[in-house]
Amino acid sequence: MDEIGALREAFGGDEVPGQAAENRARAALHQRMSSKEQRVTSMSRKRFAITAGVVVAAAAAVAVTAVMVVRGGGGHAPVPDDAPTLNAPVAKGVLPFARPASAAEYLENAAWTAERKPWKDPRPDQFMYIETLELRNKPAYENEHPNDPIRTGMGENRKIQEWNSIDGQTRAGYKDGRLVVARRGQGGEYWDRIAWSTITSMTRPDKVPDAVPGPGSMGIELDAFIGQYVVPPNVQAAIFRHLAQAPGMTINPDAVNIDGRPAVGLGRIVEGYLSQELLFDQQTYQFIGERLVAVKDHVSHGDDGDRVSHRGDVYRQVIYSKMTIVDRPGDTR
Amino acid sequence: MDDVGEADLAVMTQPGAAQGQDAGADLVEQAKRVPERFTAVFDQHYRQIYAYAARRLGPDLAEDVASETFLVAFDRRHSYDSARAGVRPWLYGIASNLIARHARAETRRYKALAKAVGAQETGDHADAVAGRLDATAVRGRLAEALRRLPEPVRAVLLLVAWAGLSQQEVAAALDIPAGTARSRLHRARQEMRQALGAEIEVSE
Repeated sequence: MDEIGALREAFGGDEVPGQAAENRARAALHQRMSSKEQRVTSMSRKRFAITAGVVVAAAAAVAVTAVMVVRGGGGHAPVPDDAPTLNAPVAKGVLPFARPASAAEYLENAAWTAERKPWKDPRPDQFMYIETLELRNKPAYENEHPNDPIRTGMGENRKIQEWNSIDGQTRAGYKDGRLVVARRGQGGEYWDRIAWSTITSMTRPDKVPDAVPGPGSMGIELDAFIGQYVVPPNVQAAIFRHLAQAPGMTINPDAVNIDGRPAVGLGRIVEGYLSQELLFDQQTYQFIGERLVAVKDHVSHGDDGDRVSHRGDVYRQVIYSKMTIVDRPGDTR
Repeated sequence: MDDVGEADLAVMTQPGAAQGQDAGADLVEQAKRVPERFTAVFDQHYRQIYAYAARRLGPDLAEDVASETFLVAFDRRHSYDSARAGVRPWLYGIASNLIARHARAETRRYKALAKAVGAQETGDHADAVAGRLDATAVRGRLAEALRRLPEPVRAVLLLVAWAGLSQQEVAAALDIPAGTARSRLHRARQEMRQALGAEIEVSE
């Protein structure tokens, strides 16, 4: 017997898969076949262009919202840059999935992970606490060049903590190292938050709108919404599943988070050259942040001159290090 | 919706009528137009891919690898070129790439197999002395030799030995020149021969 024969004999006969394993594999394949993503991959770019336009418009709406909130609340001033390590709780354990190969599959795994987080419905007087680490250019540079990407040697991590009551009436944040609590309407400060009842109604992918309706005509794009609100696990899962069905979702398997650790970026191309991505932990599928990165060289022509973007330029990178419900402003768990 | 011709249906409903690589390639071609046809590719090849992955990685990882092999293949069906490779080499190539991601787990598996046999060899000394080529002992030697092989070399050897691919098919599966496949196989076989020789020496 030669060595090939020995290899065949010594390791025994073929291992037969269990029926359950085979069924799971077949189901995964069928799911892939029926997923919207598969069906849109070969669709015309025209439809994508229209979608991208809508996304850009929605993103603009978010930007407007953010500006209103910051100016009105005044409670979001970053604390001194102490750049703590990422301490988001990460669910460990073996996920019941094969290593995913598509954005839709990643999002399904993220939904599965989200669904397993412990949760207790909050009271109206409790607060959503969100702690972010944001990578930004140093203030002096940022003031001069507000639209620039994060420059090498200029970037720094800023820790931002904010509290918003479930009923939307109270908000808090640090200003000059001091916790500032504001009530809506006091001192002429107003802000608008999406109603809790709207949030909790998004229990299934088909109940999730592309932009979460806010007060008046405002809508917040889903990608931004999930970073601005602490939502119940089933709602977060429904959002991920809704995004999984969105056309044009792509994977960037080589994204890194703010600590330089590997992450997976899932997102869409906007304006033809920017990838707007949600970041997930590569191992646990935990939602950890978002970023906006140029995926190809681009020149924007504006009234104030041309703006050149290079592939790899990062325009925004935020890690959500804590997202939880707490009893009062200042609480972090 | 694409039209489904009678000939297409014949392949779907009478798999026995479709033979060899051409039939498999036909199924992939059909799946480019009618995705559901890919189920037949799965039905024909899943168990083989699973068995191959299980031999290299054990049953747990094999389930993941086998499942993902077909997801990846489905996603890439439009780039499948039947002139370049048959369906089997194509699928084994995808599986090989996925298995390569678990190279550490694979070498750990061989190490464990070698160790387990090493312990048993002591107990079965009488058999060894009697000169019997004990399959378990041989497996230990081979496992140790497989552990030492670089993954790309091991992949070539095992695609021949365990998947039953020809050298040419291995080259197509791994997307490497035929000469490279040949030289890797030569090296791997030498290592295995050496391992077996050691076993015979012990037995003698």
